[in-house]
Amino acid sequence: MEQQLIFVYAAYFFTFFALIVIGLQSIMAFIKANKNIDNFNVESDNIIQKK
Amino acid sequence: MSNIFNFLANPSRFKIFAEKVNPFLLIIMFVFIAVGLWFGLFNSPPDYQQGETVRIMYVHVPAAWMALMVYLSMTIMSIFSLVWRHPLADILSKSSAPIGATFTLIALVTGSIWGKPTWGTWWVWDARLTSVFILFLIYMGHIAVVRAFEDEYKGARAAAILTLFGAFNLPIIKFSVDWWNTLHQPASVIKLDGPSIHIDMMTPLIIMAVGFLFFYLSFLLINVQTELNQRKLKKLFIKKLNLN
Repeated sequence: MEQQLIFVYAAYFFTFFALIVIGLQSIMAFIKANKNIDNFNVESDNIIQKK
Repeated sequence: MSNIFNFLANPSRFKIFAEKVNPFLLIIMFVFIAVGLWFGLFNSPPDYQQGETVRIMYVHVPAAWMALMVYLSMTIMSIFSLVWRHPLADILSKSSAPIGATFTLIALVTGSIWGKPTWGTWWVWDARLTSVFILFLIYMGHIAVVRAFEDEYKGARAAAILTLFGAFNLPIIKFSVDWWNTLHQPASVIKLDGPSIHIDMMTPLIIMAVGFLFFYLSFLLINVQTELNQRKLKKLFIKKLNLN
């Protein structure tokens, strides 16, 4: 029974690890995109000046 | 349907809609997954043949259902994209692909973990496993193709065509266990003569499936908002460059 539970916990661990990774990635990208919009004027001025 | 699409295609309207709806979707997701976990791990009986390993079913089967459902929704969006050339359909399809790929990977890995104690092997190239693996490759192909073109419109069209070709794999996955002699068991929930699974096992399965569905919906909305913001940023930058 203990050996069977190791397989069960491994499957659950992988499932929620994968869901948390893809979820966090989405949230990070969302925060980054929002931040870029908020800082658009400053950032774009810097990029244009560099060019 | 077209009216809803047109209403939500406006980025600012979509943002307001997503901001209002998403907290509810996230709460429903957390509740269903938490209850599903409790049922799946602690409040469901072991199988008379498989013992405790049957609990893997409560994450494996909903993940496999979601892998197919997300791909089906991408196929519908691809038709919208190719026929009506609606940009929101492209964005929805692009935003769905990473989530669908994750569910497919979960189905493959948890299936493999379940296979070892049940079949005595981690993997066999039988029709069901192979067709799901092909689905995973198609998802990865979609993610790559949509980002491979500098012109996002061309990338979206190429990805939509790939999605439509890949849709032929969906009935193969579903009926592979009936058409071929596979190590994977035949369907026991979604079949014509009704489910052949006991209610005590059906309950956690359905609860977890609903939780996974709401995971998809909530993170789809987040991904779509991100994509809309990135496109808006690109347009603003081009506008500013032209003004300078």
